[in-house]
Amino acid sequence: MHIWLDPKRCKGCLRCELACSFHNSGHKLFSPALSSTRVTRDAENKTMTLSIDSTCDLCAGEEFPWCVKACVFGARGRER
Amino acid sequence: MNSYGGRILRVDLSREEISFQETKVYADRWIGGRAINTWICLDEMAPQVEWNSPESLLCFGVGVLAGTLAPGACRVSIECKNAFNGGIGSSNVGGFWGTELKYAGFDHIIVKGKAKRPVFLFVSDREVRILDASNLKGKTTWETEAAIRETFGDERIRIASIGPAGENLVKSACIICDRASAAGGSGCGAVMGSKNLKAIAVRGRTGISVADPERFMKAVDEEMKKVNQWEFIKEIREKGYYGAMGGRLESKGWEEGYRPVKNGQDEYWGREKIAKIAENVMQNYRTATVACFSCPTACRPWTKVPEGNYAVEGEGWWNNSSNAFCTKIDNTDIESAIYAHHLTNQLGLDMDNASQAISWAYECYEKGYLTKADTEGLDLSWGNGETLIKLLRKLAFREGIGDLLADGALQAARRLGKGEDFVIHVKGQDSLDGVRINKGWGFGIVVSPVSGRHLRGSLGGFWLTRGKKVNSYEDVPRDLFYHQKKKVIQDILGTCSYVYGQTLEDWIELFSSATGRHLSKEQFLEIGLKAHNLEKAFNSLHAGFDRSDDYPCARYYNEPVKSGPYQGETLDHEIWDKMLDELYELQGWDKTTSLQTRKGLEKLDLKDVADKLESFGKLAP
Repeated sequence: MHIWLDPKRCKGCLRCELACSFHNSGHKLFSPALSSTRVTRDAENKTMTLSIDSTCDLCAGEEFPWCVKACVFGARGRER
Repeated sequence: MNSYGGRILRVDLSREEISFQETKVYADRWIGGRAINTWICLDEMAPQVEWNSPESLLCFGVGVLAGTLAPGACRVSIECKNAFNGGIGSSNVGGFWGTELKYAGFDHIIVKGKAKRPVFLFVSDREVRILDASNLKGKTTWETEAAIRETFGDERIRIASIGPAGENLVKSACIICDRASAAGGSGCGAVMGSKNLKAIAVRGRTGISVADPERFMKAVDEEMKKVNQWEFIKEIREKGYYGAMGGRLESKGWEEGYRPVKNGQDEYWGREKIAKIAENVMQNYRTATVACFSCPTACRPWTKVPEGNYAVEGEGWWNNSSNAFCTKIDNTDIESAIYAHHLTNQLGLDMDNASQAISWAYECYEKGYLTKADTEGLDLSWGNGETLIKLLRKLAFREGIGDLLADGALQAARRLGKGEDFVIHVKGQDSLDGVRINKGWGFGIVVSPVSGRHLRGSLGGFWLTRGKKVNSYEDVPRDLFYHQKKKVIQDILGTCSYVYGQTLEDWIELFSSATGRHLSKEQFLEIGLKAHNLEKAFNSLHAGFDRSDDYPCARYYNEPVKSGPYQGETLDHEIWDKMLDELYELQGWDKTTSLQTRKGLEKLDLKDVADKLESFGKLAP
């Protein structure tokens, strides 16, 4: 399984980062700093850059990764 | 403290001192955000303190739910002394700055004093520093943000800053967060400028916990279902709020009084002109929509004029923008209006306030009270978008006629000795909105303790969905009384009006599961009423406002609407008086003077406020 990312559909709300940190921090914390995924918006031209780092375990044991569930804009998805 | 940053940062710029308090000191009584800020303003500022003196306070307070997955919870309240009139100043802003502050471990920043030289504040979870800002002096907010990020080499630093307008103590100056989120009204940007404080940069790497994670996430899921099932959500995400709702050519808002025309001479613009700036045109300039922190709505358009004199791009374009830069000065040139929108963000000007002073100047020009000799040769004829751009710059830098307008239209009229009868203001603060057609909207704006501003409980579209006619007076005071309290709760929690479907019960469930503290609906509404009473008390003590300040400005009270479906619409003076009586009675205030009563305040457990008012002779006999 992997997670696909579509920066063109991203609105930059960072709900993915919050969902990730909440699920993966071990302490159920909302904290972008503890997220395995990252969204960066270019302030001048709103270009979004999306990434996932090596600490991501695809939310092992979950049917859907939490960041995918959290995105309402269709900017990321799961592929088996 | 679950769902809180946990601490309040106190900064004294005169003494260059930094100190910390636990938020809990205030949270038991006032919960958070706007209510804590307002209490601190009332409790700590003496009535004789001027808005621009070192003793005045500038209070930032992040909502209790901000930083969590509560949909759209990101907002910050900013309270201070209103630069226009000395009453309570109050503003509210979204974006990303507030949540970053919470991740740095703070819920509030209370700024006092005045720095000896321009400074900016750097706040993180590791340190708080007062830093030299000499190199930022005169820079726009966009330049300021870029310079600070470059200095620290961290693109995640979030910045609240003032532009040239705030530095030059222009009263329509606002504080801009993240380039495009404006904390407008009350001159809070001028208050910040008076402290020589150019910016507050924040960076946080800690986390926010919630008391009952499972229950909280269930409440979040319920909210998200409502948002996702809303019939307009797909369109809003695609077109933004203006494109999907208020800015559509067929939107009723164009004829229901939300659109002040030619400095409020009229409240209807005519379909031919509307068609030049409505969504049918705006869609050509919108390249995307973007969201605030944690927001599932994404109502913000990204607008771009690709080339020509008005080439610009950036975040935002609101109904207000179409009023401020189009209808108010009769301007159908959309490119100049989009440029003006982004220019106000860069200069740190509040579009509602600034556009009122400017449209007043246009009318003075029409009447011959101002001529080219007074305007450095500028042609202020209705519809001139090029002049609008030049005036915004002159205003921000207090150049020439800009200096006349920089203290607000009412002061400008008094300096000029003419034109006071057509200044559109509330309690002396320049006001954007039309109030004659939509009675619920208008009454809320005029009686608001923060001197205008249509988001402070004013009854807009949601009131009409209850089956009211737009110009009906029915139930206005009672409904406003409820919505004023509800808005306080919203500003305590940091949620947003544009996240669809959130009821008071929904907020209570999110709040309880996040903080572990249960308050009933009645208790929450009482907190709303109490905070509203703090604002009223501040106004009585600091500005001496009474019943006479709760009437519309002369033009709106006396002149009828000139054209459109509501041609001839006026405000009924007798009914206005009765509405004030009813509202004061609901609030427990004296009908004759509007002053608060000991009985009313003690019923709300505000004996300390009653004692203070009495000692200054501001309690109703």
